[in-house]
Amino acid sequence: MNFGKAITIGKFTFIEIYKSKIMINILLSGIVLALLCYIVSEFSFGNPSKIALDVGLGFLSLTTKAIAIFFGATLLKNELESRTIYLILSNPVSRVEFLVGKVLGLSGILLLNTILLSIFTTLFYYYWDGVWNSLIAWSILQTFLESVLILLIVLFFSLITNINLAIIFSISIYVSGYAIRGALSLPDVKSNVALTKVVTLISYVIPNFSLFDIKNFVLYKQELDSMYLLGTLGYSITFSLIFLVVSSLVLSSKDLN
Amino acid sequence: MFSFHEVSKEFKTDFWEKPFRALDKVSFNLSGGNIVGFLGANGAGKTTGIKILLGFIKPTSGKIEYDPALGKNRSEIFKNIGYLPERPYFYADLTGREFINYIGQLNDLTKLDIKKNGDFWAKSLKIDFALDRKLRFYSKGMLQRLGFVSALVADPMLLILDEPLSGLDPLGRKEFKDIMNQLSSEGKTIFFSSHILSDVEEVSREVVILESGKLVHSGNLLDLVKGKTTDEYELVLDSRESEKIKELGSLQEQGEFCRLVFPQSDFSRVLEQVSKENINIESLKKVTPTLEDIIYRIGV
Repeated sequence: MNFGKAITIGKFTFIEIYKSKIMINILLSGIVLALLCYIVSEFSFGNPSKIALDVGLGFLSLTTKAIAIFFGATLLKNELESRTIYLILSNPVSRVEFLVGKVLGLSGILLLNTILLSIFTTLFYYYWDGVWNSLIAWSILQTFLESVLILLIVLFFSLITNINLAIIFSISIYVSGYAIRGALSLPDVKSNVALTKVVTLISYVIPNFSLFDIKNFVLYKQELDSMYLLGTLGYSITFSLIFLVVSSLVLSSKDLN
Repeated sequence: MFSFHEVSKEFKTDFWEKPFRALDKVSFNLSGGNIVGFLGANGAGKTTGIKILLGFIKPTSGKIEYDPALGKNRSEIFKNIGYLPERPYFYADLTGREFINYIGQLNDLTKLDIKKNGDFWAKSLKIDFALDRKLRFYSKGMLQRLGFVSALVADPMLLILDEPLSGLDPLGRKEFKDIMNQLSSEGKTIFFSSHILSDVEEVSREVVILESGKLVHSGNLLDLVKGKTTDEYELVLDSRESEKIKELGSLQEQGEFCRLVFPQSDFSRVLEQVSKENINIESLKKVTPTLEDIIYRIGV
């Protein structure tokens, strides 16, 4: 694995997506976010800075996930269907380097979106006299890592099915992953041993997305155990690597017709 | 440069259907320094062969061996290969210059070499004027030219071109053929597929011919032509004289002329008769088949 090649592919993937007018969409999102923060804060009673932060982090989470899902589903599929992949793989580049490069390129776009919308959010937060808390930065980082994990999941599904199904499967995995731990505490599940075992087994296979949602701690408790934060960081990186390795194996064994 | 050893490829079109065999135990060897035409009708297996050669798809059985001169591992080998796909598709939002930079960087070229080689080939292929435009604004012929530039930018030893002349106007086809000849004279090996047989005949010294996935011929083009040449002569006369010679051989009316084809054994008899009847001869030559005649005779 030559990281230099992957970085070159990542760089030109970033340039290609950047020039496809996504920046206009991100800036429009920023303006919508600013308007939302302003309107919601104006109509709130009491603590407008918290409202601005709540809306901002929520909007950031939504847009990064949307970019990860919709751009991720077409990231490799378009390369295969339009055969641009032939022009790249006929050079001294392995399929794994190509895949890692494409992921790096789109992750760069996700990072750009995260940074820009975070700037908008924190500006409004400070405008309404908000006080800095390191959990805000953790929440932003968790949102970014969560979106990279979603990107890798949708990328994996795009390699084994079509674009529409890849999107549906990825959203299903996200919703299930978010709800699965909660499902374990439901009385109906608790009372059924077999069902508990099945749900527990699934909870190990599907990433637990509820771990990444620390917004309530940011807004209300304003503190969180650092072991929890580091653990979640390791958890997201581990699951991302698993999906990256599995996708690499699928792409390496695939006939590129 | 490379050898195909008993390469077969089957595609499963449907779960219940019998697999379709696109290549059937194809074996041939490609020596260096030549322009080799890869021929066959649509569906003969040319593109499948090229995809296997470049590792895009795996053969069902058989293997491909690269000449050690190209390199020891995949990375070294592919640094020495330039590829132009059939109907090349590009990243629509990159400019031509960005795309050349992209390919150059993947081949570990320095910025200076990318600029020098890229500018040289872009100028040679007359696409230098459009390098700063986004590729979505390129015409089909312009994309073909840019694809050729990107295949050449790393100065490869072996060029694999899939239908390089399709989508080009006659002038463009001539320019491409001139560059192919120039590259061959510099010692490069060019392996190119085409179904425009006259173009292949013009530039190739060797040909590999496929028919329905099977190898029909592999070797020197002149040998193929000589091997298929019959001992026949062709006499072209004014068609008004056709009645006087129709018994002498196979006669075809072609407008104001007629064409008489006869075996070498009848040469003296035919000329004697023509002389006796005082017929004016337009031309007389040995029948040499074109590549098109040969391919159709083989059945491709």
